[in-house]
Amino acid sequence: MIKFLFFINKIVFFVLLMINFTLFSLRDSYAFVYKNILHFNPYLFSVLIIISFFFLLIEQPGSNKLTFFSKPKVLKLSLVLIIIYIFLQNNFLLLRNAIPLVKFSLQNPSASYDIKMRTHVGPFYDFVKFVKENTPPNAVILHPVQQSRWPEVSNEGYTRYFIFPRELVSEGDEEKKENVTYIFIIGRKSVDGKSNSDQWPTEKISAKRLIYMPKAGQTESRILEKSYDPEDQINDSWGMIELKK
Amino acid sequence: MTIFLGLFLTVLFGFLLTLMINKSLKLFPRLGIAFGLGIGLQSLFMFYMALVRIPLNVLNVSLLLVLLIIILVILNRNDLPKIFKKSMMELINSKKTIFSLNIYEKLLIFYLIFIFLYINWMGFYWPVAVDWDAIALYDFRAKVFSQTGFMDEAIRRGYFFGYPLMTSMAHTWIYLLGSLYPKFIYSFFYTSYFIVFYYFVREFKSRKVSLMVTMLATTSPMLIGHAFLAYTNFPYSYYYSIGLFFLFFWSLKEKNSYLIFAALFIGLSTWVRAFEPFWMVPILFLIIYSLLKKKFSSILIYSLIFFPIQQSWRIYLKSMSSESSNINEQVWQGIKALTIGLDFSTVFDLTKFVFKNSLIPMMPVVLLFVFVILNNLKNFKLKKIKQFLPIFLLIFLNFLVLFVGAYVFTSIWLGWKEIPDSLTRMSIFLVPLLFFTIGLLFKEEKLSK
Repeated sequence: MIKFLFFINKIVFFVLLMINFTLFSLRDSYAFVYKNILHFNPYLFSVLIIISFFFLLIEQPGSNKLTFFSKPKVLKLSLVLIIIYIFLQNNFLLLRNAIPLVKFSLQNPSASYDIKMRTHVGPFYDFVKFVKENTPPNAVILHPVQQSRWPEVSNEGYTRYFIFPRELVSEGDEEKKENVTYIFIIGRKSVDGKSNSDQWPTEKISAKRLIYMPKAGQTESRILEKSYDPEDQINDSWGMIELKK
Repeated sequence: MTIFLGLFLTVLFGFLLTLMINKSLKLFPRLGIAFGLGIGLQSLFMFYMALVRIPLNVLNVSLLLVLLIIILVILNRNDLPKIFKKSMMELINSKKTIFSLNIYEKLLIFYLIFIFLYINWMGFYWPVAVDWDAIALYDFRAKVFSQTGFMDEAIRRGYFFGYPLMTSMAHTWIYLLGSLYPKFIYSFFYTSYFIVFYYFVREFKSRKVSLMVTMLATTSPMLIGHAFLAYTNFPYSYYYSIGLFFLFFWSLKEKNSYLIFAALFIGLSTWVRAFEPFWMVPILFLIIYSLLKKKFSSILIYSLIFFPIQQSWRIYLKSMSSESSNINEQVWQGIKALTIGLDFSTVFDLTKFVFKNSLIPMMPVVLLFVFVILNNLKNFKLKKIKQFLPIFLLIFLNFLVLFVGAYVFTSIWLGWKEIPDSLTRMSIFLVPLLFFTIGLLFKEEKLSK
C-alpha cells in the first residue's frame, strides 16, 4: 500500500512540477489564473510541490519502511532535483520575458527614441509629445488631482518627466493656480480613441484657444479660437486649453 | 564615441582606485569592482560639485575624472608597469584556459556570455520608459541636472529628497555624454556583479561548481528583471552584497584592503538607498568579531571610510529639511520600538508578511540552501567548512535586521502591509548571498570522497 502511495506521489510530483512551469511560463499567469480559473495564488503550487517532494525524500526505495534524511544519496538526489527545478524555472521566466523584447529589437534595430518610448509608454506618449509641440517651455499646465481614473495624466511625478521644463499644477493647488497658462483636456475617449475615458475638465472655461490632438491618420493639431465647453462634440479628443492672459 | 570615452574614464578611475587599495586582485574581478567603485564615487563627487556650485556639464565632470585619474596614476606609478604586465599575462592565460575547458564548462561559459550579451543589448537598446519610479524621481532628477547643470530646479519641482542621488548622478553622466539610454548602467552593474561573484566563489571552489552557482544566480527571476530596470534596488544589492563578500574575505584573511573595500562598497550602498537598515549588519558583525578577536582597529578603519560616505546625504538632508541626519536615529527607533513592549499580534502578522514577501519569492533558493546545509551537517566540524561560519553570521544578522527593521517600520507607518513589493525588492540582495553560501558549501567530488 505504502509503495503504491509513493508511486502515486512520484506521478503527482512531476505533474505538479509541469503545472507549475506552465503557470510560470504564461504571461501574467498570476493575475489571469487567480481571476479566471482557480481563485487561489498559483505560487501555492510550490507548497504542494514541497510537500510532495518531502514524501519523495522519506521514501526508502525497495522497502515499506520510511527513513528521514538517512541516506546521503537521497539528499544528493534532492539537491540535483532542486537545481534542475531552479534552472528550468529561471529559464522559463527568462524566455517568457525576453522573447517580446528581443523580437521587437530584432525587428526594429534602428528604431528611434520616440518609437521605443511609444512602445513602452503607450498612447499617452503621443499626448505628451503633442503637449511639448504645442506649448512654450515656460508653460504652466493645470492637471487633475492624482486619482486612479487617469493614472498617468493625474500623476504629477510621472507626467512632469515627459514635458519638462513645462510645469504642472494640480487642480487642488489654489496657490499656484493663478500662474496657470494651459489646462489639459482629457477627452471622453482614450488618447488613441479606442476606449471610453472620463472627461476633464467638466466645466465651461473661458479660453484664448483650444488645441486638440490630430485625428488618426492626420499630423496637424486642430486649433479652435473659442472657449472650452465640455458639451462640444470635439471633446471626445484630448488636447489643451490655452488661457487668456 | 563620447559615451565610450566617458565610460572609459569612469572605469579607469575605479580601476586605479582598486589598485591603490589591493594589488593582488585578478584582472576580471578588478574590472567588475572598478565599474561599481568608479561610477559610485564619481556620482558622489558630482553631488559635491553641485553643492559647491560647480555646474554639472561634460567638461567639468570629465576634468574631475581626469584630475582624479592623474592623482591615482601618480600614487600608483611604481606598480602600474607590473600590474599591466600581470594583467596581460592573465589575458593570455585565460585564452589558454578556454581551450582546456571541458564541454560542461564550455557550455556554461557560453550560456553566461549569451545571458550577459542579452542583458547588455537590452540595456543599450531600451530607454527609461516602463520604470515608473525612475520616471517620477531618479531619471527625472538626472534630466533636470543634465539640462540645468545644478540641483536647484529639481529641488524646486518637489519630490526630490526621497532617495540619495547615486543613480540620478550616474544617469546625468550618461545624458551629459550625449546618450539617451542610461539603462545600460544597470546591465553593467549586473554583468560586473556576476563576474565578481564568479571569482569570489572560485576562490574556494572548482570552476565547474563556481560556474554552475553563477549561472543559477544570474538567471534568478528575482534579480534578472533588475538588470534593465532603472530602480535603485539592484545597484543597492550590488554595493551591499559585494561589501558583505569583502567583509567575509576580511574575516578569513584579515587583510585591511578587504575591510577598506567592504567599507567603500557598503558606504556606497547607503548612497543608493539611505534608509535601509542593513548598514548596521557590518557594524554588528565587526563588533562581534572584534570582541572575539580582541582587536578593535577594524571598527575604526571601517568607520573612517564608511561614515563619511553615509553621512554625506544625511547631513545634506538635515541642511535642506528637518529630516534627521543623526546616525543613531535609526538605532534608537529600533530600540524604542522594541523596548516599548513587543506587540505579539504585530509580530505574528509581520512574520507572515516577511515570510510571504521575502522568503516565498526566493523559495527555491532557500530550499537549495537548506538542503546544502543538510548535506553538510556532518562536515561542519571540518576546518574546511568551519571557516565559512562568518558568512552564516552575516546571513543571520541580515535576516535579524530585516525583521527588526520591518517591525520598527510597522510602528512608524500603519499602512506597512500595502507595500509587499517593496519588501521583496528590498530583500533581493539575499539571493546572491544565499547562492554564494550554497557555492561555498557545495560538495565537490573530492570532498565527498
